[in-house]
Amino acid sequence: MACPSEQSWSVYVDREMEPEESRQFRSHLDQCERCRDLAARLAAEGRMLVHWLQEVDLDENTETPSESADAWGSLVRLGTAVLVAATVFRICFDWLSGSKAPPVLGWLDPFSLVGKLNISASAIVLAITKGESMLTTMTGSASSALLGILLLAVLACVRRMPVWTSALPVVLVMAVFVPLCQALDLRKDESIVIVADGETVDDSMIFLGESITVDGTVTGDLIAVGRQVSVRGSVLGSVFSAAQNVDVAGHVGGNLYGFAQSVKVSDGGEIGGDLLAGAQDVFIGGAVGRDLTAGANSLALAGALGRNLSFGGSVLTIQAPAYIGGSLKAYLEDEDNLRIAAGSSIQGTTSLRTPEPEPNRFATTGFYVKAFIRFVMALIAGLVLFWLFPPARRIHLGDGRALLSAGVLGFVAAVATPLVAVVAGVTLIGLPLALTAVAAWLLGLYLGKIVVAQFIGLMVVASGSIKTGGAVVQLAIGLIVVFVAIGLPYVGAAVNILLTLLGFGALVMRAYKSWLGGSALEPQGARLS
Amino acid sequence: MALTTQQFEAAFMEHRSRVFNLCRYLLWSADRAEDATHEVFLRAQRGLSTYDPSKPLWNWLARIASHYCIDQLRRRTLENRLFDPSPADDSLVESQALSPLNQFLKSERGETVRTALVALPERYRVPLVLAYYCELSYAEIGALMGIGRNTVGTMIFRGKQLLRKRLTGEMRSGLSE
Repeated sequence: MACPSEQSWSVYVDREMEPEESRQFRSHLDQCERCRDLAARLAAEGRMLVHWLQEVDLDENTETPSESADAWGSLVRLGTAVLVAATVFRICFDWLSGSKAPPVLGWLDPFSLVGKLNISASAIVLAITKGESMLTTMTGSASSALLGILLLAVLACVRRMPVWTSALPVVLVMAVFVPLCQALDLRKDESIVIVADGETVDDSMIFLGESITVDGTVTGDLIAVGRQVSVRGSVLGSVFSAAQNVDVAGHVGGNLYGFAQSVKVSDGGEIGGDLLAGAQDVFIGGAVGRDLTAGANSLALAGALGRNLSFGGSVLTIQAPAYIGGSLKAYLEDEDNLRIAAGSSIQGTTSLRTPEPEPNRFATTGFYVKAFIRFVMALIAGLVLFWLFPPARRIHLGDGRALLSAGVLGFVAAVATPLVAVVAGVTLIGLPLALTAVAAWLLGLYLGKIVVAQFIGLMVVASGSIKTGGAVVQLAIGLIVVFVAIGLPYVGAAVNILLTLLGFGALVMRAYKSWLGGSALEPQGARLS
Repeated sequence: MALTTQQFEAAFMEHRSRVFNLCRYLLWSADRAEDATHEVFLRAQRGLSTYDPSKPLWNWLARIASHYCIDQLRRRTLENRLFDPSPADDSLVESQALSPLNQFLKSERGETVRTALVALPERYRVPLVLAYYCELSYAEIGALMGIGRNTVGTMIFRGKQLLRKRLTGEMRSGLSE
């Protein structure tokens, strides 16, 4: 027999040869020293490969702690971190919302209803007065952003550069060409609209401006949006106004709808119809022909009201010599805040309602039914998620580093995604991207707690305290823990937010890693310890 | 007598790092190996009834892990021709007849060998890992990879050739540690 090839000897030393052939090879070994040497060296090579490849197990076994031993530790760390953070969060929140600003600055307090109204009113005014220039600037920015994206795509395609490398020159180019942003320029321009004394506008009018003053006569309706709206002349129709200050010192034939920081009907002013106001402060020194309905922080009535007064808010003051033709209905947080001066007169009944203490939500059946429905939904959503995206099952939140990075990433992603979506949405071309981003964002926020629940369930099962290990049971255990945690008194809401952010962050990181792992370039993990 | 779920979990934990190492060899990424280990755990748990307790658990787990990892590798390869023989680098393997590595292996640290091994193309890496890490037979490897037994022998031999070439090349260029 001629000397077999090296490959044949390789198969021979791996003991993978057919018995008959193997016998022939063995007898050849007795005759051929060269082949004997080759076979011996191949056999040694095989043994060494086994040794070197399996050696890694010896190192790992001694170092890696078993998962179950650490499961309770992970749970305790997660629980402590979340509870401590939630408590701190809640205390800070209470302190911020509980510490009352001085009454004069009350409208700045973003936690109060009035503060929110005020911010919205200011935002509307700003959008209306500066909207056009904002739009121009945004269109400019959007087109340059589009240009940048195109440039980036061309660079990435032509130069075959990785996207992030090619982004750098593009960003530098863009920085030079992007127009300066001027959307928030608060110049006091000449947008003052006046219907002068003696002038008559024989129609309805729509005014948009910084300051709107009607000294003359408007025969139709007046729609006024601005910072300061004053009616010192006559409006025969109704007035619809959204402004910081609405002041009626003249005559309004129809109704007044005022949404503002302050709505004022001065002494001598007169509203023929109803007054509907949503504001921080409402002052009625003049006359209102029919009903007055207001939702406001404070309402002071010193003038005359033809029919009923309905008020919801915090302080209602009826000053002398006020007159109310109908009845008074007030919804106040505290009955002490209804002050009726001695010289005033109310023809109808006076009724005051204060909010009833909320029933304990844990005592109602509805709460448990709702919780159960939410639980089942979450369970199904979780199972679907882990079926579609198995890596999400393996999210780890057991050590400080993982918690911190997931929390920070979750916060950034939760805040940044809507902003990016708005910016992308402005470009129109980016609209589908923006909608997708918002959908993914909502989905991610919903799934966040489920992901955390999966981790908790996994750890509970791994710790050996529960003897079943089915995927459904595991997730269900975690979900129960999460549901109880977010139902905790005092810190529940904060725990809810934290768990959502943690899970969202972990999910984003996991998805990113999977995406990275799926690409052809795999720098990490190439070296084995 | 079949294992209970609890017994299985305890037994799996003993083999966990081996399963992880196998996945890491096959998938060339610690992250993906961690995912894979978890997936192997779940699959084994689901298929516990098919396990024959008279045989070593590790062999059974290794088969599940290899199966899963090879599946993952296939999914990543667009044409699904992962283990097709007749590769283009035949010439590269055949041109130089390098002698077996035993001398080199004795003198080198294992890490260099492992790093060189995981950098091999998948068609060589997978059979080498299955043969020398899991110590599976050619027939078993062939069944997992969906290729013939003889092809497995060829792949293993070519894989070793390529490994020798890379390791000796590394030694010559002084890159080895």
